[in-house]
Amino acid sequence: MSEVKMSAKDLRLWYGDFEALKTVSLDMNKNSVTALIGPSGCGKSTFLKTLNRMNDLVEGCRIEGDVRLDGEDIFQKGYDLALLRKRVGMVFQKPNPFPMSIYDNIAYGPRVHGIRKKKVLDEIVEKALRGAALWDEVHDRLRKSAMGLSGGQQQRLCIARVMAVEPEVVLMDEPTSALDPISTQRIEDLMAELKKKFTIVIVTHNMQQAARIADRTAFFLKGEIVEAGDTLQIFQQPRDKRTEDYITGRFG
Amino acid sequence: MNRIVMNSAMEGLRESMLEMGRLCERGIDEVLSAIYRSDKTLAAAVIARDDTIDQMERSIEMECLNILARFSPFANDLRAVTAAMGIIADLERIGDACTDIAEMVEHLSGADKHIQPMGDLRLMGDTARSMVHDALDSYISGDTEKARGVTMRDDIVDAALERVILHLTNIMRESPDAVSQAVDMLFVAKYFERIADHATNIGEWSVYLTTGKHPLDKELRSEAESGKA
Repeated sequence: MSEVKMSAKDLRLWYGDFEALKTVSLDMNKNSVTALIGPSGCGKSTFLKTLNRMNDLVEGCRIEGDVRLDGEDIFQKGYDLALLRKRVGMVFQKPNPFPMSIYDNIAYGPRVHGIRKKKVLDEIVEKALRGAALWDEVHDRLRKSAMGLSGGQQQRLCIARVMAVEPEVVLMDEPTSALDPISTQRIEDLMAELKKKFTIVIVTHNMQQAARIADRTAFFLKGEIVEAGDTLQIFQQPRDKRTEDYITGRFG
Repeated sequence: MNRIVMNSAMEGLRESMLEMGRLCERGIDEVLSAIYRSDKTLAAAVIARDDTIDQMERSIEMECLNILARFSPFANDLRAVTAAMGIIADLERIGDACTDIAEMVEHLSGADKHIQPMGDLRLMGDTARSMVHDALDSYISGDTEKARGVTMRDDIVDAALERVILHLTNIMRESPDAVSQAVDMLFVAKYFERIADHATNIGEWSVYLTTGKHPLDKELRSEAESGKA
């Protein structure tokens, strides 16, 4: 039995009067990739953002139910948000390198968390870039601007930036939708490596991608999870007619 | 995914399979008639058709690969393509069995004819043909009850084979001149029994298509039996 790293139970979320998540429950296992699929506006990205409390910043956002990291309620009073975001990192759809050097992009997080020694930072930067399969391509231009990298390299840089603060969970919101097939494949290969160390939760519109990389898949529709289970089961023999209709393109 | 283009590809696949199935059914009918009527011309026609059946297997296989490559099907669509690839292999073997039977017609219908085809042989041939028909029909319609019925009828064929073997063994004991033809007739019966086995396999693929589980023969049978009870 896999160990549960994060879990949501009876999670409800409103943006003003709009109920974006309606009693959603999902376990996300350690060292595994959980894919969230569903049509636009189904709540999957909202759910993802809730896992490191990014929705706290949205005005009029109200949350009920609980989300736990290692069994601890992340919405409890006094919970350390900075620590939560270190433990639960996020990679966005559009690569968003900071307008600074490759090195400083990676060192940014560790510096915020108080690491000052150059030798230590050097080691962290190299380890993170190697982990994100980017080191070989950039090791001789670490002081150059990250903005000069290709889209695929920028996205791997963002993954390296997340890894530099040694998170436990990595959230990815359509991380390859802006990338070409080769860069996409690099990121997917990377995920297979990353899950050995981390817990990965990914939102994707690409069904083949979910089938390729995810251990478990959850299908969201209109703010609810219609079906969640083993990825192979979901794509070969979904239990719910709505899942079947969605993954076979019969939807709507 | 372009559902309209994909639907038409899936429809094309089903039609090709039905066509291949029809050729196999026709082969079983004709080879049975050829045996009973000592009709060598009909037997030759069955043999000639085997190439067409083999080519159909290749071309349907290609249709399946094209669907996989172009549409990356999931769920029911994925199972339909997987089942199709299994089913056409069984249909091709049915075609081979018909050819093997047809090749024995000449020897069995010579001037010194020692063995008359027995009623059980017709029972085996007719049952096997109807099993192939219903198994394919259940693949197209998703009727798992029909598929389970196919499995049940395999018992009729097996029992008839036992009787044919007993009958032919007795002939061989009593008239040594008939041994050579009796051995061929034994093979004919065995080929019909193999055809029924392939039909059972096709029925199992149909159940897989609908339920996602490829049942072992025993499971299918016990479900069918408990359904009867």
